[in-house]
Amino acid sequence: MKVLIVEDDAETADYIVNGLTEHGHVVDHAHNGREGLFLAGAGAYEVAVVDRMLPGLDGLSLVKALRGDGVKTAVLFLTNLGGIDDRVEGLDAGGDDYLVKPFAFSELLARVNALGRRPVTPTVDTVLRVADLDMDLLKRGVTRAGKTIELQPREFKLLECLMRNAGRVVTRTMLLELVWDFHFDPKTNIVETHMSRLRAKVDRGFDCELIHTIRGSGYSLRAPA
Amino acid sequence: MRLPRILNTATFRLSALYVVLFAMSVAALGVIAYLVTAAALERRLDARIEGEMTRLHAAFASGGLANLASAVRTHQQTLPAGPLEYSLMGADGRPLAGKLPIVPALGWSDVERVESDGDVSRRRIQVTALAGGARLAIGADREQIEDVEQAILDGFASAFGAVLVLGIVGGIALSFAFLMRVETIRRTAEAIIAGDLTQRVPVRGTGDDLDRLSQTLNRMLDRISELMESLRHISADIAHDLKTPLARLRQRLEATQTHAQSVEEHDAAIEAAIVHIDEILTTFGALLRIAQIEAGTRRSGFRELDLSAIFTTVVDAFAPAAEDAGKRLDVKIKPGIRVSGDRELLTQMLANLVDNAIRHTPAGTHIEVSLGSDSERIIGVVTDNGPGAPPEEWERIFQRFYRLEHSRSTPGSGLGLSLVKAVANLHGIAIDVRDAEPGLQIVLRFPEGGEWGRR
Repeated sequence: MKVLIVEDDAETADYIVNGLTEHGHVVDHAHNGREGLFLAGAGAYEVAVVDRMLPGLDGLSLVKALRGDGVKTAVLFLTNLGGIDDRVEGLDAGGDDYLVKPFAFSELLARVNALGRRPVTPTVDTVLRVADLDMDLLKRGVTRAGKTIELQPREFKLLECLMRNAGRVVTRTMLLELVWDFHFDPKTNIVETHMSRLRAKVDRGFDCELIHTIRGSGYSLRAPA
Repeated sequence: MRLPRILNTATFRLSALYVVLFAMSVAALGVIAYLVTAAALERRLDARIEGEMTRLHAAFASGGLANLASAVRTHQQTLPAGPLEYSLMGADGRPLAGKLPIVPALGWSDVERVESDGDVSRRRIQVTALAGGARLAIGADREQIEDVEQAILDGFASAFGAVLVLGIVGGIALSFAFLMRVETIRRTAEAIIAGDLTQRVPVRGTGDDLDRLSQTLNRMLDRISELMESLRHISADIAHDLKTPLARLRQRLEATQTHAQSVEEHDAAIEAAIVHIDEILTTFGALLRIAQIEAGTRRSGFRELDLSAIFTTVVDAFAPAAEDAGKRLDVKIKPGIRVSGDRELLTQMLANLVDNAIRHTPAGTHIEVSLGSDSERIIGVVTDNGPGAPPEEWERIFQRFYRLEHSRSTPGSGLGLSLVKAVANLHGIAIDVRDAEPGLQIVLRFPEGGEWGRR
């Protein structure tokens, strides 16, 4: 996947560029807003990781300009610690996701992967399928190997997130945001307890497990190899 | 206090202006009174002389010169100390009767004469000619007129002087009183600038404008000192509470450097250090978030939202975790309650409260979350029947980094309830802590008229 990093801090930029390259992405790096705008406008990137605070042209203005030019590249904003208004501002400016610095690399990677998979024009899926697991989004029904699985509304949402990102890692914080709209990290293990209930319903009593815990980063739902 | 400062006050300038205007009007009044009175007195004097002249001419017409002379003598006698004096002179210039010492030319004249005793006398004299060459003069002493005129002048001059003196003295006194009070306020301000924030402007209790100003200033000072006190606390707390984990981290890393033998041991130490640093960063994040909420800029982002839905979402999120921890989470939420606020912050506020109730209570605890409204207020309650907190700690549980004795062993930054408090303050929500006997009850009273539909 072609990824553009717009980040003025050399150390952070190297950390991101090296990490993403190791995971097989093609990464370009712009050191400031103007260079970022030029590169993003010219190259067909799937994802742009944009720092909010940039010399010259700041991240928000950069993305506004890109959207104004009709560039559809998915944008992940990097914001500073504690900036509670940043998320809303970023999304309003045309960003697709945000991540607060400092972050674990696995978190960034999971989010970049999730954004890269997002279709440029949203298509409406009515059925999601991974291996023998089927989800009917219209009837809100789930079956595995033809057997109906009864899910609570939140469990359904949780499973939907995993299935839409099948084969990829979904982090705890991504799930908190997507399923509960929680933009903070509760001390209580909310995600873990819901996940264990979901697993009990989806995986228990079947031959192979579909939901996997990825240590140190999150969860992944994937078909057995 | 030096005099020039008084002369420079607004009060003094205003009173000086009034004194000048008033003194000028007194002077104008004096001049007018003087002129009018003087003219009237002059006319009366002339009329008296003319009346006497007519009567004496009548006496001359009826009895000739001899009759006139006897009439003059009679008049002179009947009015010995009177203001009128007479002189009748024959055609040869010889005085026939009367005491008027001088006789000027025919017609009206004002004559000045030095008397034998040295005084200067001024007279108004009319001289008329009689048939046969004789002359009749009648004079009046102007002394009375001049006395009256002098009295008027003296009176008004005294009044003018009194106005000036009283006005200036009054102005200085007023300015002095005003300046004293302003000076008091100024001295208080100087003392505060010098660092004594406990100083307050004295209030007299009269309720006048300066008193009201002083009260407002005092309230402002109270607020400032509150803020400064909390700021001082916060910086000290932050320094202390962040230094401790950093120091611990350093010790561990140093121990690893000295004692770790294998790559595995180093890896484990690095992993532990990252977890440790993440905790510190979380604390930093929480502190910054609280600071931003307290700054109040977020209020501009208030929207109408479904509070019942927020309560339901939070309770749903925590229910399985509570259950796994062996606790019961009950809910009683009235649907469709709408308020104006910030969704993200209100969600986190409730989440922190429920989080606390779950984490700081033993297994078997019963937790209840409710949201309801009566005709006036919306009330949210989080109750547990855990160990609770002693009443003297109730205020302090909202302070940053404050942790109850029995909670110190459980993980947490001691910032959760501070954030609750900050969000509540931002939304005008009153927080009451109550004893649930046993346990702790936190009551959120949303502001009156806060419900969107009733606005």
